[in-house]
Amino acid sequence: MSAPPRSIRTAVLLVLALALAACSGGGLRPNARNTGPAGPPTRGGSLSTYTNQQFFSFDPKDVQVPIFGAQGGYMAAIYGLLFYVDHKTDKVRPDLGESLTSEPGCRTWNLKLRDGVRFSDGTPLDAQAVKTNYERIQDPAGHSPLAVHLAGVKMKTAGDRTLRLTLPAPNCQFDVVAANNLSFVASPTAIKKQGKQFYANPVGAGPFRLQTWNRSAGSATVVRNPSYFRSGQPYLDKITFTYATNATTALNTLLRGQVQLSGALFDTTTYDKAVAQGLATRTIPANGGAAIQFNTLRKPFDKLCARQVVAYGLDPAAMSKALNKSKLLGGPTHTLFQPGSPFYDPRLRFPSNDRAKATAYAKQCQSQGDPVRFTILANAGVDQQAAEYVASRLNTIPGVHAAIRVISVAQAATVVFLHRDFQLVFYPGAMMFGDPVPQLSSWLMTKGAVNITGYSNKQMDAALAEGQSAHDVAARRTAYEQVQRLWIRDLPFWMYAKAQYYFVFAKNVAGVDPVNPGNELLRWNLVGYAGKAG
Amino acid sequence: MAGYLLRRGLHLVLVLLLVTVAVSALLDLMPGDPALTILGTTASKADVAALDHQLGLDRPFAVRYASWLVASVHGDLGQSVITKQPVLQAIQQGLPITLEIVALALVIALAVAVPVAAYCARRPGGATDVTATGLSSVLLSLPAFVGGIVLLYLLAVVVPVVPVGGWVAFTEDPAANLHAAILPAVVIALGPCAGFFRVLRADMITTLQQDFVLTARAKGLPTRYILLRHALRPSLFTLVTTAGLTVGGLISASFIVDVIFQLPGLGNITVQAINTKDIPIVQGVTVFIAFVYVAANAVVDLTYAVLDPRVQRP
Amino acid sequence: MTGVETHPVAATAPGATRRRVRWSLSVAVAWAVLIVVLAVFADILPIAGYDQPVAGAATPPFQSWPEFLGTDDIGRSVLSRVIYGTRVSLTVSVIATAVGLGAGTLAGLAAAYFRGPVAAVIGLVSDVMLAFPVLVLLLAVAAVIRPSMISLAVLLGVISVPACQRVAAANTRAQLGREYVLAARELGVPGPRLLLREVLPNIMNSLFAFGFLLVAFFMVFEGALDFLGVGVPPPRPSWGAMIATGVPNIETEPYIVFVPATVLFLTVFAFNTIADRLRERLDERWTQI
Repeated sequence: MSAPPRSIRTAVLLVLALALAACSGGGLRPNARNTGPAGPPTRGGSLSTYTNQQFFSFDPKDVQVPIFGAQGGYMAAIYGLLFYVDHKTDKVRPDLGESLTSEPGCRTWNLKLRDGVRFSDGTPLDAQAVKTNYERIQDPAGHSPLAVHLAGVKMKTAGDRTLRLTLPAPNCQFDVVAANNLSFVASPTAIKKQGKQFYANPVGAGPFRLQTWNRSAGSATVVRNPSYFRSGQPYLDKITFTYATNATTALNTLLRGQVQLSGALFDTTTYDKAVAQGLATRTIPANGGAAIQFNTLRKPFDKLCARQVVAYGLDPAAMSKALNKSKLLGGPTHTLFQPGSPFYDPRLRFPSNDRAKATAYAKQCQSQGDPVRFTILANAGVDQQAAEYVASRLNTIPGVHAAIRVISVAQAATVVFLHRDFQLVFYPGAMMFGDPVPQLSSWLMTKGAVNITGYSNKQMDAALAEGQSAHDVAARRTAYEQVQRLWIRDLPFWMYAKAQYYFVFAKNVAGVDPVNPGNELLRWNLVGYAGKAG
Repeated sequence: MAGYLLRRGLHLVLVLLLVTVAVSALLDLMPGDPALTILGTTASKADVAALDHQLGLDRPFAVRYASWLVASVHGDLGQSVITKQPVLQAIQQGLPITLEIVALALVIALAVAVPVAAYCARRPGGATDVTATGLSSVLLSLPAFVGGIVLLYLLAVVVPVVPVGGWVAFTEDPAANLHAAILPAVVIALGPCAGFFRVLRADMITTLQQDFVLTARAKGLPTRYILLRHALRPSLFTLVTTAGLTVGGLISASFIVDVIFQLPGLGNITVQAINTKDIPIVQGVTVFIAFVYVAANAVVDLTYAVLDPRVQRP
Repeated sequence: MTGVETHPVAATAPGATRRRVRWSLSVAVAWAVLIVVLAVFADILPIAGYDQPVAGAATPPFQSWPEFLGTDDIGRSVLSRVIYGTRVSLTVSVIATAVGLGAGTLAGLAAAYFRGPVAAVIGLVSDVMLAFPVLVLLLAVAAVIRPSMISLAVLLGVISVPACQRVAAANTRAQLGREYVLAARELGVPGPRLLLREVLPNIMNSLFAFGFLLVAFFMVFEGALDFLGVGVPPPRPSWGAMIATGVPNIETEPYIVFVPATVLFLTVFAFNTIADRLRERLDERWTQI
């Protein structure tokens, strides 16, 4: 459903958007447009913003993907961040915490907390508090989606303020993983006291506290936390997060000034409109992009020739132009990494746009007894247009027959991720990532968490492992070059357009400086209205 | 009379029962898993199965329905699988918005239809009459979703007269509340307004042709007086019946505008619940709507029965 | 269905109005015929296929032939898609009407004639169907079965059965007091035979007129379903889906929305007008649904 299904479209985009989760994108810096006054914010004012996912829990262990649009946005207001990754330097910086360093070998890490930081109920934010939180995540009865990041990690407090973590295998990017996924900690006293009701009564050490959660309206309001450890902050009195079910309406409220800030939740045409209307924006490029995934465990895409038909049969430039209306955002992509990333190599272009080759491969598949007949799985409203485009183009190649099957939002997650019941599907959201760890591994490693293509290759696994554990950029670059070569050769998925995250906000909002490349969280203690209070 | 009420009561219960069984069964057949919504797409099949078990979602349909039924009879409609909010509370939160939109729409539709119909009934075939009848045909042919989108675009984006979406509670700010409600109400009032106009006009024309009106005219009474006191009253009876029966349709239409205008009414809640397979919420809303529909019908029938005893016989 | 229809004044309309009325009927019929012709002969018309990328993407209308109405944003001819869209609209609406009227008439005849428990059961089933929230039904069904034109048409038809049943029942009741019915009963003609052989032909005209109303209603409804994404699956074009995909770009390419919206509206209006005139001709008092 395009349109009204806008609501549904948004719902899918948001529930399923697995943006990033990793760290140093290295060089992928935010761009700003129409920025307002540069002065520091004044104290006071309320701000309204949108989320792209339904609220169901304020418990940090229930966070699925800590991106701004999903849970990361409002969790950062209530819990703050222990650590974060700075876009400018791609280094991990402390916020609520004091430091996170590793001992040589990258297997043992020391997490140090600040002195005197307390949760809003008075409990000290010390090593034991962090340990309690992390153990909750590890507890299988808690069903935490974050458990994978702490799998096999042993923890021990060393004094009040230090927590020692021992990883099952060396991982020099662990601090980035922690900054991105393990930065929200809740008060252990409150957890104990509230028990099963904690998910609706959070207590954190962040700049704001939860005031109301209106479940049927899908909105949550947070107010200033008077015991926040930085005096003078936060600037805002109140923030209201609302679940945007209809992207067109949401954007229009932004244009009308009813809402002051929003992350990406509408299609890119409206981004141009926002810029034209003088709203301020921040866009953050990412690696990867909009992609098509093949199910390599099923006909016909278990054969390389079939995947090559699709790759050579489509032109990223024409496809991006047809499907993306914005003149300012997006655009075709020809490589896995984008310019600005240390792993970008302009020579490593993936196959595309060669009709002669596409026809030849189609014939090859046919002669082998595997005609290229398949069904494209499309999410109602979200990918329908893209599916129709792909089908209409590929059906002009002799021997290729592409049909479309539309599924509803309710089915999407189950069909695609749980049952992997598809031949060709548009990856929900986009395959965006900052640093390749852990996202790229998730997609390409044998039995990776979101490896829905079923791709399995020992050389690829080795290269990915090397990229994760290597310490210096040169070694990582070699590893990821190998990853790209293998990917170009085997084509478990194919990309066509660049993707980016962005913020659109009123001109007088200051402090919109996202952190955690890939998740693009805002440090709410720094956000406020410059000049006149809103 | 008592027997009649008893029969209607039994009818109501049977309808509610059958509707809820049907809805529950239908939703059950839907693919999708609320456990997956809660755990995220990285969850493994084992994780999902474990949470399903924890939430009691893997029990057979008959067991789940039966336990829901028993609880509902005691007033407990269960809780949302996703947000854990009690269903009754969710309905209570969304209901005022839906009711306000529907009530406002009904008022607008009647406020426009009655005077225009009365005027046209006086001069059938005249310029106003032909225009109004033609316009009513247009409005009856206009799909609500198209009208909604176009009007929203014109009156909220092109010429910012009304807010684009969202809602302010009446208790917070009555002016802003009406400001936000007016366009959605107008959108769903268009069709029924045209319908009311036609009903009332035809009825009044017929009434005006009857003998007692001719007598009144012969007596020299002014037309307007005749219209209001003699023609309007019997026609109002038809109108009220019609209005009562359109309430169900108005509620359905309000679901669509909820989505378009992003209002936190029952429609939004229901659509979201369907998309996440949050069955308890949909069951609760269904019971409520079915109840309203049957109750409206029953009130209309009761009015007939009171006024015309012949109707009480089966 | 909330449609409430009444009998517009025919007998007392002055001459000018009657002429205007006849003129509007001719136009409506002409348009309806055009739509049917386009639907039937779409394949042999000199237009591009509905799924074919032609020319450039998003070209505005009135610039070239045969892309007379422009192209959509992935380069398909709007004219072709609108023409092929007539097939979807007509097929679904006509089949749905047939299903609804067919089943509804049988139920209505039975309910009116047999009274007692039969009528009570039919009434109960009717009420259950009417009390069922339609949106829930459609969204849920779309998720359960793969929607196709036929399944969608049958589903819509089933939804309309209660309304058709009431119209048929009301018309039947009006007939039951007539002499030919009383005479047949005296002669011992069995119920079903009486209903099907004698009564049914007499209410056919009314039902026929109502049928046109239904077709118009279903076109709108089907458009709404496409708009909500639970209608006919792609790549078959349908007017509602074209409107849905065009809405986000309504400012830059308004024709993508307005062309199918206008065609849909005109078609529905035409069918409504035909229904109105037919009822006038039949001079029957409409029952309220």
